[in-house]
Amino acid sequence: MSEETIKLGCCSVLGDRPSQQDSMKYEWNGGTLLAAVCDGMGGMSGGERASAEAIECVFREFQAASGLEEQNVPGWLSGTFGQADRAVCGLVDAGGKPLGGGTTIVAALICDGQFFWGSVGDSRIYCMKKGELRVVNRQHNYNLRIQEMLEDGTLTEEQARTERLRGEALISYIGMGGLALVDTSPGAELLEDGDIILLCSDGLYKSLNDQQIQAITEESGGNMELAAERLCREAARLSVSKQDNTTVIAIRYCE
Amino acid sequence: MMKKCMGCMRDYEENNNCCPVCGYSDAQTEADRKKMPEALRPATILDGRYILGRCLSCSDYSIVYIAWDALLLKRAAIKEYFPFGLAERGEEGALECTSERNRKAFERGMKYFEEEARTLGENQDIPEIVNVYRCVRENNTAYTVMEYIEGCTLQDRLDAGEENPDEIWQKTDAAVAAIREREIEHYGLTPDNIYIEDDGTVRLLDFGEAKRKLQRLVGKGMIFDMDRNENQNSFMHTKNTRGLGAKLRKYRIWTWILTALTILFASASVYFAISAYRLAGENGEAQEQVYQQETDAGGQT
Repeated sequence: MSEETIKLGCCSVLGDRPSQQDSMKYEWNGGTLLAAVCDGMGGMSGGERASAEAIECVFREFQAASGLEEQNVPGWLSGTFGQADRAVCGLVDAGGKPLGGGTTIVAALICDGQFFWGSVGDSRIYCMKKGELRVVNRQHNYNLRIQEMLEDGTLTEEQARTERLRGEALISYIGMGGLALVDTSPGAELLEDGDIILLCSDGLYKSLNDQQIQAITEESGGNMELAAERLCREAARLSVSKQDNTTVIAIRYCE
Repeated sequence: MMKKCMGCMRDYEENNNCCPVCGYSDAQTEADRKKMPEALRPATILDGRYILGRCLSCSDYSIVYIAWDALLLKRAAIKEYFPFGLAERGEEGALECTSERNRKAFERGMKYFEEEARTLGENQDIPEIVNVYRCVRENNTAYTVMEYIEGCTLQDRLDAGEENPDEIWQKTDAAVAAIREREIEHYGLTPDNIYIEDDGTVRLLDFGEAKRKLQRLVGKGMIFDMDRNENQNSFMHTKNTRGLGAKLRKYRIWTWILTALTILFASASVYFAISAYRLAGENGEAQEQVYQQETDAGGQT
């Protein structure tokens, strides 16, 4: 796979926040592309440093890896996220105390037209195929647990309503010290000409619904730089409350 | 209760008589309807997503409406493919071909219209082009959904008395050069399709390639018989000729009278010329006779 088969654009906006706690990066290693978005959290500069450290750790491992296409990519992603978790856990402040920051991560790895993904936390990965947009990963927040408890009958609908008040609390994130949940693609998903992958922090999907995300992406004429920039701009414009940091990486596969 | 203004698509209190921002009223909606009966009614829903407002411009090839994008909650401009002479508006709002013979040309023209929209859509990163977002098929025709530009056209500036907009020409030249780099040509530059944003940025619209192809297909003039074009005239880039066509149409009767008088005058001239020639011929013969007589007499002296 060559760089010509991939069109990529990325954008990150501060929103109404005082600092940018999102980090993102994409790099090639031979014919393999890795792209990742992290959304940090934690007081002071905790979130900022946590997301930057997670990105650095994952991409260091990526550049050190060889022959990824012949490896168990979901296993490699899972292992790398574990290393990032330990690295973020080890961050300390100026006084040598644990930083206490954390971060989400979503990553897409593409080689030879095969798409793999991995996720920890509540950032999202979208895949748009033949005009249909779908979220491929679960959001690791308390809402996920509530849903599971509703399904197995350990929670009533009325109890669930109360529980949902804290539904957005993360139940797994990089930096928690032993990941509670890591999701990876079960195998390779074959990409076709025109397929689009979006990696984003929650600032995007908390301001725009899936229909809006699809419309903005489709209406950018296949230009991923425009798509990423417009998604961030429209998220800021249509946000009903204060806009969170928003980061988008848009990838289009062209045969 | 809030109401959407069909003039600017902003919301305003229903108990107001007209939009407090643009002044557009229901009465104007009716007046516009009488003036432009071919246009779709304001508040028509397109593609389940766009609320059409008033007609922004109208030519013999298309109608442009202001619209409200109910999904992305912003204004848009929507251009309807409507080649006058090839199609007409049916009662339900759908276009109907004027004859079976015109159907092929209409459908081919619609493909050209969509192709042009697609080309412009793929070049949205050129800042000098008005963004074309997508194409929609409805009402037996095609629509392009475009960015709504806040600003005015060069025509508005000229109408307001701006006599020498050199800066705009320079920016237009730069815009044309930028689109040529992508091998896109503008075939119908007019003061109506040079948009000037509030910050002075020049944006180009209506590239005219699809219309040109359709004209070639049906033979120039065939689709323009019913002369709906009051706003768009060909423009030679540095000269404003807008309104010339309309003036000519206005004075068409005088043109006929002048033509008839010219023919009459020319006929009379030819008649008098022939008569004069004949007269000259007769005089010549008489003079020759006199000369002969004089010669004969001289010989005698």
